[in-house]
Amino acid sequence: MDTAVKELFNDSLDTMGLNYVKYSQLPLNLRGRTLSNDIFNEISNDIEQCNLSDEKFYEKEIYDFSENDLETHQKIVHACIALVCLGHNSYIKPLINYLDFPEIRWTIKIDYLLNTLINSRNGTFKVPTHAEKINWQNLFISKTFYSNLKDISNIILTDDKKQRFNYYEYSYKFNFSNDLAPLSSIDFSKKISDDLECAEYYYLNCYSRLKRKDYNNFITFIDDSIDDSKIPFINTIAKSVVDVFNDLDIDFNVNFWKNKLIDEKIGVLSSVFFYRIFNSFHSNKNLARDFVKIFLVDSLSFEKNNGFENIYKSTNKGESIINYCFFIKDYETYPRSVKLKITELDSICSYKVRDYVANIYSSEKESLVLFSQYHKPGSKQLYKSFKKRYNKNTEILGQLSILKDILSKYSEFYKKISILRDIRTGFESSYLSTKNVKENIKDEYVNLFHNWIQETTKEIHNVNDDNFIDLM
Amino acid sequence: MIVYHGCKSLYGDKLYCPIINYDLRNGKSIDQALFKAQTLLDDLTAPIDKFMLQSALDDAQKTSFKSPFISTTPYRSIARSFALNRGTTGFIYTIEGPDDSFFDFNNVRAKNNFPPHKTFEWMNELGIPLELKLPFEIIQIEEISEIIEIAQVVYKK
Repeated sequence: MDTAVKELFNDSLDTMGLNYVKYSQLPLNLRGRTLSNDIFNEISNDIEQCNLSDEKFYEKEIYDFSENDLETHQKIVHACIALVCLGHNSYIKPLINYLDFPEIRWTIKIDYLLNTLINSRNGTFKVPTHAEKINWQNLFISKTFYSNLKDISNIILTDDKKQRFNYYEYSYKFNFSNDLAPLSSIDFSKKISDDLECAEYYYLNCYSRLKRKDYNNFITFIDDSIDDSKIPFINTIAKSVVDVFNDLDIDFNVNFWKNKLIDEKIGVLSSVFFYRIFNSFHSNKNLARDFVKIFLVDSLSFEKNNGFENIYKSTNKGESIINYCFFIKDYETYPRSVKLKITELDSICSYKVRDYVANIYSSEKESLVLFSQYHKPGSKQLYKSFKKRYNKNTEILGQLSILKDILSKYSEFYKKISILRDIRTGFESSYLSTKNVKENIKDEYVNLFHNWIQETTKEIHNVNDDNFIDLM
Repeated sequence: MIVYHGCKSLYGDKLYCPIINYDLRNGKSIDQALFKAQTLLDDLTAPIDKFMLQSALDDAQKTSFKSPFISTTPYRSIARSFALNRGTTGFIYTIEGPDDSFFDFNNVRAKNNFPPHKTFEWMNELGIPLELKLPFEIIQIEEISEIIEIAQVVYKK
């Protein structure tokens, strides 16, 4: 990657009045997360006020915005660029929308960034043509919501490595003298600030153990601390541990560590977390298969093993989710030992599914804004792609709903998915069977989801976009 | 020197920089608009220090509606890409003016030992301060609706 993306990133921070130097003393992962947190705080109010997911930028001219609005949009678009550079792919969605904003110079930046992240090539700066912008938007509508974009955060943030040790010594001395603080006191939720707390906690605890070369204690610490509540933080935890290895210059020998994990008899759920850590050092397509054999079962056929491998690899692609369903569908035919392992892993799988469904909602909602603009050339093409994607998503939900009869612990959750599949089918025949876009399609789509939530959680009366995902 | 300016609206021979256009469209008088734009221009042409100059250069290039310059380039294809933005009809102004009267962004950066701004360096942006008046002159205005590709197969397997 060339230095141009780094320039885009620094430019964006400047626009928001943030100074990168302040963050440079933190360990790599914490640096990214603290910075993300501060950027997010900078724009959280603005995003709420602007109601971005309703903005039809194509229908507006620059004169339609007040000076304050322009300042706000400038801040938001640059915050989104910076957050995407830091690996937060969900901010691609607003950037895709900003391609229609009547400020060409922002689209130059967005086009370059998308080329780097999606096509993995060092592009050239240029004004994207309207057809190119439609292509980006079409890709957003028809593909997998950019859930597996290239993460360039390490490249963006890597510099002045030496200073990181100061952070540990300082924090350890003043805040973590008792690094065996009871784990029960840690209560992480999904907020970014807690993500930060989680990163710091794991960095400092792992650092203290690995610095003493107390490897067994390090493994036991991770194994003991992992439970269902840590699943949302799997990436944070893995990256924090990788940071410690890098900061202490510990050579990572995959066989040495695999044997250590076997000696310590770690749990199945912990093995998924350790896989993430190992994979950062030793990216090998056989690694997931090795983990399946060591920690789960070695007697299953290749095809079945593949299902378990998907859990380790944990991609959010629809295909991966469907593979998982096929694997679970045969639950009753598996040996008892395999069933037990599945039970231990179904929380991580259901979390993935929940994320996937939430992603379907937000991506489809954003897509509706992109094509339901009357005068926009290329809208018909986007509408066509939307219909195709919508059907595919409904099919995937249909596959997932089968699990309601299989996974007893999560049967309520999969029942809700089954209801959602049914009401989506009704929506399709009412709103997507026409050649032209219906005027109130977006409102009806949002209603569809809200009604679904109301219906499946009767006791909740005021549902909005912020809390609906949590209700699932 | 011949340069090109691409835009979406036809302004005739009264061509103003974006920040003046914005203010005029929002009901401000030409005097008010000119005064505000002149203040921004001063930061670029008579900066207090280099830090201010760099910041003003970045502001003017990063967001066109904050620029006190009519943006032009020696390359017609770049002006055309601005004119055709959003897939609708636009206009290309061909303008003539003395070399040393343009505000050459790349050159000003180089002279002050600032690193080139990769995002905008390729545009070779030449700014006409505030409004189009002598010594600058409009040579031609073209309305442009699309680029037509003319292709002839010279080889096929």
